[in-house]
Amino acid sequence: MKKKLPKSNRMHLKKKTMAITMMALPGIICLILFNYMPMFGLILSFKNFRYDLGFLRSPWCGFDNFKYYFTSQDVWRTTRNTIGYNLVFIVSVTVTALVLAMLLNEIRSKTAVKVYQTTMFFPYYLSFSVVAYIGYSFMSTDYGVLNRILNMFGMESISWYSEPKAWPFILPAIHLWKTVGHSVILYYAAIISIDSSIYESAEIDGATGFQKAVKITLPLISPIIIVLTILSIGKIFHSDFGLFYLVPYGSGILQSTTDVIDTYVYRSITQIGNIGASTAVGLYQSVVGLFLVMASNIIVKRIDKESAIF
Amino acid sequence: MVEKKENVFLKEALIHLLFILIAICFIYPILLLIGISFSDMGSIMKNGYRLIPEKFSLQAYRYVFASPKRLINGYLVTAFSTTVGTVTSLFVTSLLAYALSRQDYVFRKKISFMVIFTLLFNGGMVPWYMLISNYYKLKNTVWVLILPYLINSWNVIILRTFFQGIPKEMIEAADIDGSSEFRTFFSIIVPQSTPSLAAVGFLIMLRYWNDWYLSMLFIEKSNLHTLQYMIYNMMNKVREMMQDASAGNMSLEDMPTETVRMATVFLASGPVLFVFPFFQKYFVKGLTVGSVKG
Amino acid sequence: MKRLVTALITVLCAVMLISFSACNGIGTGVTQQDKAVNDGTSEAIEQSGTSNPADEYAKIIWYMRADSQRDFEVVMKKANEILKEKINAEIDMRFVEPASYNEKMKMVIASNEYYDICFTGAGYNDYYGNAAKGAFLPLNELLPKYAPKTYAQIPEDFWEAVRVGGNIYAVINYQIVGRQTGMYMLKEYQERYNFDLSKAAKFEDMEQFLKVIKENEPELYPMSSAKQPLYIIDGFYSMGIDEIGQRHSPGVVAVGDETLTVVNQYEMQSYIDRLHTVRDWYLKGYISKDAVTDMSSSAMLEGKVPVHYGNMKPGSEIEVRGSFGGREIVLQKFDNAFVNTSSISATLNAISYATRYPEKAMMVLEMANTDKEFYNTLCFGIEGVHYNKIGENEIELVQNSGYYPNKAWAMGCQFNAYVIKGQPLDIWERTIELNETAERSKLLGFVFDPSSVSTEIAQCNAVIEEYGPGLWTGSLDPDVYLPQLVEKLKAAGSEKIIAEKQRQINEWVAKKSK
Repeated sequence: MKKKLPKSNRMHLKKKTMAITMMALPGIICLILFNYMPMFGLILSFKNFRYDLGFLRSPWCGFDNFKYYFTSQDVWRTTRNTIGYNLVFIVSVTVTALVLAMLLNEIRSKTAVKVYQTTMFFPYYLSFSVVAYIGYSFMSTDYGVLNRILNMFGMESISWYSEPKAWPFILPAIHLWKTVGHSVILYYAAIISIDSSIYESAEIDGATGFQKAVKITLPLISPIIIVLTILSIGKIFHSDFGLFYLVPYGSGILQSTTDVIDTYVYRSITQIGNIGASTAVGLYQSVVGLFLVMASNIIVKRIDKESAIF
Repeated sequence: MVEKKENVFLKEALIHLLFILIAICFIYPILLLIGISFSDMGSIMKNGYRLIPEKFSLQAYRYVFASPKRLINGYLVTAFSTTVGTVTSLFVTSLLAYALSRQDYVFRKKISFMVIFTLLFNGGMVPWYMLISNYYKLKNTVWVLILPYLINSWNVIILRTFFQGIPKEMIEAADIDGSSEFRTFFSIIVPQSTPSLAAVGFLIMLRYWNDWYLSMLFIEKSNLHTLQYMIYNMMNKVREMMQDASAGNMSLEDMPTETVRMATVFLASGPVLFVFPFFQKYFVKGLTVGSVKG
Repeated sequence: MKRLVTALITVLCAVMLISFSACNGIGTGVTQQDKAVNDGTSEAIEQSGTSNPADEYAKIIWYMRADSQRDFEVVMKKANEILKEKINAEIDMRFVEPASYNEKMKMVIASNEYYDICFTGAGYNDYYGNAAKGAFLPLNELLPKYAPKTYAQIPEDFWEAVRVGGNIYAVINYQIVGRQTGMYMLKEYQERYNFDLSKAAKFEDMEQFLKVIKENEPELYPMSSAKQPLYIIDGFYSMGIDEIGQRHSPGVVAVGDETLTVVNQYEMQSYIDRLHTVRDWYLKGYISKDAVTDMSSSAMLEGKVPVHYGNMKPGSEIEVRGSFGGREIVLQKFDNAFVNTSSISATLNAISYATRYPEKAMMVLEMANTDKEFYNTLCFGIEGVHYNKIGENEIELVQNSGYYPNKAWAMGCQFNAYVIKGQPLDIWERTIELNETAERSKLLGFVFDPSSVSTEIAQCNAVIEEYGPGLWTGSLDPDVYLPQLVEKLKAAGSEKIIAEKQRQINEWVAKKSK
């Protein structure tokens, strides 16, 4: 093994950079074509869009489009709901998925692992119209499973679709049911990539299962946990539209606890066809998200430089 | 020694029990769905939704299979777009992710930022539609079902994180051996990352399989419609009928009942169940042990 | 931190640079080019041009709201043969599934995608909104020139209903416009309890039947309902409400009010009374507790909902049977027929502002609205394959034929359609008669321009979506929630909307009397 000379070192670096850039190129081209090019649409936030004038010639209207959302009575309510639910989602899904993934790792039977994983994953690929329908089969006032169980215990049926207070529990439960499988898969993949010899030496030192989990597993898979969490924080002003719009079946009275920014925009703004206004709200959501990501990234950098996103 | 064995056994048994309970919770709603698809509407009206259908009936399936040709077409189109899409997307995504995972790559920070920026900022549906339809001329082609989803920044970042966990010494060793970057990627990185590649690959596959949005926007020839789009239309027939009613027009057709809708959903989601074990094969421990030492 | 900010700014600049240079082609290209064509064309019309574009061949793209059909290609081929022979044109018809039609067309229009004709209407593809934003071509001159028969066969004052800013932007698909409501009941229930339907003359009268049914069959919910129930939407007239602009937006005129005073319908006594009736029925168990989730339509299909209130027109008893799962029904009319602006603009076809063939497109629409051969091919397919003629104007559909979009009312003048077996033979004559004898709204021809109060309307929408479904299905107590609704509407600017509506109406009246 000869050590390379300084001059060829630089050339080697150049060759390496070229090669890696070649690898990255297809992905970058896709990003440009499908993500960056459409960004010119953001100017619609400041325009009064007319179809016959198009993007360039429609008149500017300053911050008028932002009025639709920001002067409404529901600004506080929708923002509170959006952030509140997202925080609950992030915490509940991360904690549950981690616990489940670690427990899965403890099982020795490969077939059992496969079966359990499959069952936890079932709900993830159902579309929300189906999930909404399943929800209905549980929460229907007269035919639903929940009320039939209540009746069996001598309690009265509840009109779930008219009870706003119940939904801050219902929605996170449904969200957890549907998405936890996704995170479990990723965390499990990370866990089994850990070198088992580390565990063996810990066991020789007398570590218990719990200690192993907290002191070995968690730190070693922390990069993926942190990344997923930061990315979720970036989306904290966005919501899963299917969950908030379809599952409550449009029952208006639930809006005090189920209306989020995205559903508000759809209901009030999209219905009147003002594309500029909906783009404006989207811009607002993205800008806030960007700040949050940058902030989280700086915090993470202080703790562990390598885990930061950039 | 005997005590320890019993402890381990008890622990595992408890874990199994927990997972079985969880499995039941997760599956029950879906079994309910299947049960509905096999039952007779009348008994649902009388007794509500039940797991085991009171009166078994194939009427829903008969309705769906009355036009099998369209269903089969939907399967074929979706199978093609999903397979080609998943393989290509996984390939392109992992290449980009690997490039970004190399600390010694000059452009690493700038391109990472570029990738993450797209996660947060979105120009809106309209410009995206305009580009794909009017400028890239992808309408009514099977490629429009594949290309727009090729790169998903989320997946890039996830894979990058996994790749960063691979010991740098392995890469350096290959470099010193004179291996090209591509060779290093395929012969070392990929085998080391089978669990994460399988995980992300599966998620990509789901995205393609479940999509109906691309069909709705860009496909006007019904023989290129995906399965999920057909289901979306069927599930929304009720809303359509209400719209027509308020315009003064009722329909002479029969509306698909709940049972029919559920049957269709089952038929469309079923295949994913069978594909999952294929991915699970790759969830095996990596070959890290002993490759760098010595 | 500083480096990050610099990086951010660099990226944003790069993004803007790339996209602006790219979008020089986007958004302007089609506009300018076609504006030139349009200008050239109107000159041609004035000069009675040298090469008449009306004679040259053109392929017209037409977006229609209908389910894709198995035999689509075959039928379109036949339709195009007819069209080519008669006016030297062909259509590139594109069926878009009804569930996705509105969203898809929104994209097509907003992204300036090329097409010639599209189906639209007050409730489909937002006719009024799109027309106001310049999506459609003004047809004032084209109509009398290239579609004279279509123009003539619809009463003059009906055309006012589709005027936006002084221009007509769509062709009306002439169909039933006189809205009349009444009660439908499953025949077996009428026979079982010996109901005398003539005893019911209005919505509230239905209670006597509901009561009997519920007493004898307590597990049933006899009255049909939905998230936006027809007894609210179609029932506006029965409450004396003549709606203005977007459905449910605050501000209506009382039917027959000569002074045309705009009032808040949510404070009208008749509206409050209707809500109370519905609430009462809900508590008594006549309306399903799940009505607000829209699932009760399947119960109707199974024959578990015997009573239904809705729109009536000649032949509707056949059509409504579908919703009852094909069972036999009987009916009882309630009010007179009523015509207003939105009932006329329910189904239309518009031409894109960027079309390259305005004359040809207009001629295609003329064919669809007057040529029986072409129109019926579009509606029913090919004779002998998809339907069989059993009379001069009567046909019988072939089951599972591979072509039956069932959208005759969207494709052209419905009165030219063949009568389907089961419909009364004189259905079209009776419908036309109904249209002509219906009571006309005093606001007929007035179209509200919402642009100056669009923020308020958007915010009021949100409020109505919140309280509406619950109040309309009786699941919310109107004494508690209706005042909340009114208060929130006021906070969202309902007074401003009402004032604006009044102002525009006064202006319109002044112009008319000149």
